[in-house]
Amino acid sequence: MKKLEDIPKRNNFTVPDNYFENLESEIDNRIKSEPLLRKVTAFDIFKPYIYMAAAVMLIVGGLKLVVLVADLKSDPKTESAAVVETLDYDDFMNDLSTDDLTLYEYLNNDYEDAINDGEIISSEEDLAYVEDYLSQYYLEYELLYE
Amino acid sequence: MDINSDNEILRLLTIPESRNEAFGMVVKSYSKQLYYHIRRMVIDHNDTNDLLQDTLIKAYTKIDTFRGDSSLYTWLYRIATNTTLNFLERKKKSFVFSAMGYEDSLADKLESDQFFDGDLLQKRLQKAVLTLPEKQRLVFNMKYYDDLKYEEISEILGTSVGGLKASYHHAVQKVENYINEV
Repeated sequence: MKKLEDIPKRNNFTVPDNYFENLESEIDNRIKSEPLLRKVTAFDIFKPYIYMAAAVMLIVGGLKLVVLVADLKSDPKTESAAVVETLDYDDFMNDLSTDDLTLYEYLNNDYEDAINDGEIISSEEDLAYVEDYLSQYYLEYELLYE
Repeated sequence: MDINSDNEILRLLTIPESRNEAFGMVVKSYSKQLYYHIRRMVIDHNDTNDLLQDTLIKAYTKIDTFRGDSSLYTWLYRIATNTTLNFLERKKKSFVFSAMGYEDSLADKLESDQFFDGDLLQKRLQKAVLTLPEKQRLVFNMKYYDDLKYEEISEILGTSVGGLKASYHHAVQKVENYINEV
């Protein structure tokens, strides 16, 4: 078995004539003619990182702008609907005054309470008043829940 | 090149008026070693010439960053090594969809290279070295052909001396196995 030390150590790679002699002047000419050959500054070293940071800031800023514009353009009706959804029937009832409650109790046959409270409809005139009154509240109720 | 000459070159490089003359001394002193270091990796003379010139230009532009924590010699070797490895990486990518690997193409170049004058055994040895992975090939070349110390190779490649010794030992075994194949 042939070992590495049995093989003569030779450099078998050759070069064109006068290659190394001409190399020095070639390098000299390149240094003089290359416009970009200058001292490396700290900015050159950190340039990629500076550009990367600037790109990230631009992207984040752009995204924030998009979100801001989307917020400004949001539908006011949607907001109102959101507010209205929080109202419920109990809230509506609580908003009614004592007089209104008396009327409500009467209309729902809780008129004994109404009598005790001293309020009762005894005439057609009163009935007409009640109907007007009810239609007004019903309309407002409908408006709230449109 | 001895360390006193290196120190003198470095001193002259820091003086703007003598910088170009000093860099001429660098080219004269080290270009041959750097050339063959690159040539053994890429085989082709024209590719080697391009990479050597790139190495020397990079050294010229980066000379201000040289801190003297290694010798000028190993610093230049490190630039040449990294330039060559980048080149080989780009070449390998261009062979991804090819039936032939890049190492096979280098072996083919060796066969037809007008600037290779070795006999059959020498050619077989070179082909054996081309079968080694790139980093191991670098270790083998720097130890076997350039006769660099393990400490110097460690400065160039950033690998521990122990790791380099193991790598070289395995490289020699692989080369001998290849040479002795029928």
